[in-house]
Amino acid sequence: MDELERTKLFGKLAVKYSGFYKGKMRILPKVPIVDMTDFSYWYTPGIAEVSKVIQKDHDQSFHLTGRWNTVAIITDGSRTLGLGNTGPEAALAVMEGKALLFNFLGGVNAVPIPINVSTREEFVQVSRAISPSLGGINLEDIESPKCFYILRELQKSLDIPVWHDDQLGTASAILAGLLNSIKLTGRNKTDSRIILFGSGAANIASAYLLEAAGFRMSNITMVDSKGILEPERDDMDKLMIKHPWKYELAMKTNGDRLKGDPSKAFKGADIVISASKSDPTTLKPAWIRSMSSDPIVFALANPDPEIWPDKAKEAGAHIVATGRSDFPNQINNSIVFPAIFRGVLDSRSRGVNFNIMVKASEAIANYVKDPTEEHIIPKMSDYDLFPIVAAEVAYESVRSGLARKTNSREGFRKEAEQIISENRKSYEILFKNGLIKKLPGE
Amino acid sequence: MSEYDIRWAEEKDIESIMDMLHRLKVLNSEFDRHFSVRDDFSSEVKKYLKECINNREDFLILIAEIEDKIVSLLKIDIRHRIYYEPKLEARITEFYIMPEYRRRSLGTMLINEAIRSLKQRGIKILTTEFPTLNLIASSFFKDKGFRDMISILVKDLEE
Repeated sequence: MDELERTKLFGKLAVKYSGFYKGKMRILPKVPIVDMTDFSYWYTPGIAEVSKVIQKDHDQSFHLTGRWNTVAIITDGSRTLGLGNTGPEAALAVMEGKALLFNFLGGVNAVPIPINVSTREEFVQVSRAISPSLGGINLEDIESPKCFYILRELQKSLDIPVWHDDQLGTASAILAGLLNSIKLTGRNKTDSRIILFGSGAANIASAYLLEAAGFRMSNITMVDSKGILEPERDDMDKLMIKHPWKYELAMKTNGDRLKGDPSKAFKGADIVISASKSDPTTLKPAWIRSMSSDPIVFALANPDPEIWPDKAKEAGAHIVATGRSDFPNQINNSIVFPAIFRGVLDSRSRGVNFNIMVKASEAIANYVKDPTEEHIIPKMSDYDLFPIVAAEVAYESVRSGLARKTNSREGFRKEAEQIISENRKSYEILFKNGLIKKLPGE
Repeated sequence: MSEYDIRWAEEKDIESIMDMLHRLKVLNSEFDRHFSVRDDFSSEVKKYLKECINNREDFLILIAEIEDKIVSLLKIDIRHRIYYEPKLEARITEFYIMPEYRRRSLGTMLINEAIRSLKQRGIKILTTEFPTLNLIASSFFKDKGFRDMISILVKDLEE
């Protein structure tokens, strides 16, 4: 069965199973209810006292309610997967899937909240309005450059972590893979010359994260559909107005002030990170051949990478990573976001920043004990990765003064492990007892 | 001492000025469709610029150079007002800084140099014009003490 046929089959099954289960998540009580008198403290009259405590100190909402472990997955459906602007209703199915990953891998109670908004300001307003019930916000599938504005405004105005997974999750996974790749090829951060091919959400965030990790902005060259990004390109003023985040990078990156077509960026470069078009002819073998020896090639477009791994290797690539699970070295944000959120939630963090992300990426990279060119990054099925990364995230939140709750690194790790494993046990009991039904078959 | 050399524009600068003017007008087109740039932009503009450069009585065109590269342009038209006092008004009609040289106080330096020159001529008011939706320009000039004085509205006569 070829890739297209497999995708078609999975699509057919997804529709069938979605109809069978009628939603992927549900809410269940976590407190004992023996009879109705229990509601005297879970609800009225006793609960009024809890309200009074929280009224005096809002941070008590992290201690006395489920806020500490609740994350909203908010989208307007303006860029759902590769489908484009589907609208919020169609995005709900995808957000439910994300919530499932949050819960299964990170023990996080994630609530899908697609919203019907027409402007970016309205998006910010709605997200802010619902934030009192949340320990964190995960923004999802929002078109660029609107996503940058929304993330910036929410991070600025809220005292809970706000994350945009398409930017920050992907960037963290890229950095993790890159750390092991430079180690394997004998490179260092300060001298490595990097091409960020494609300047969408993931690569723009990657530029800033790479800088935070110790790579040099001046050694980064960004390339988009108009060629190399540089300050004298004739669309700069338009970018200044419409996409100030990309404009900013045009000023900060490309220290050599290269101009023109992509081939010029590749000459002598060490690393290419492509998050561009799903077309295996996007990255030319000749470009790879013109890079320095043993180059690192991340071709991350899905479903088809910008160059097939074997073609990249033929052209001299030493390490190749893609976004797919059927090739070695899958760069996938699913190994990042459950752990990041587990960590910021366990430390009741007021925010998330690039330093926290660097720590997460380093922990992910270090999880691979003996990296090889075919194994630079862990897999989603490496379940014990998540508490380890969560602990680093929580500990860095404490160190950077963002945490409401402190613990040792080991303390955070044990806590994360317990939350994730208890959550999974609850699920397994429901499944074993038939309360979650087995798949109905194809 | 400043790293920039600010001086009056000369005919030899026309090509660089044209490039910056074109960038400025393309930027304006982002704010209103009635600012879409003409295809035959260069031919007429070149002639007009030459006239302006050689008419220092009615035009003040300053440029900033760094290492022999022209990186900024400020063009001011001197207007003769027949109804009002004071009789002369200096109007900034073109103002552009190449992206890489922004946020380095170059704009302020150019404006200050223009003001010094205008004061020497006894000109008492300086105005500026730019597309209403250019909020960056609006904020820049308001920071420099400019205030709203006149509005221009547009109505399309053909659908």
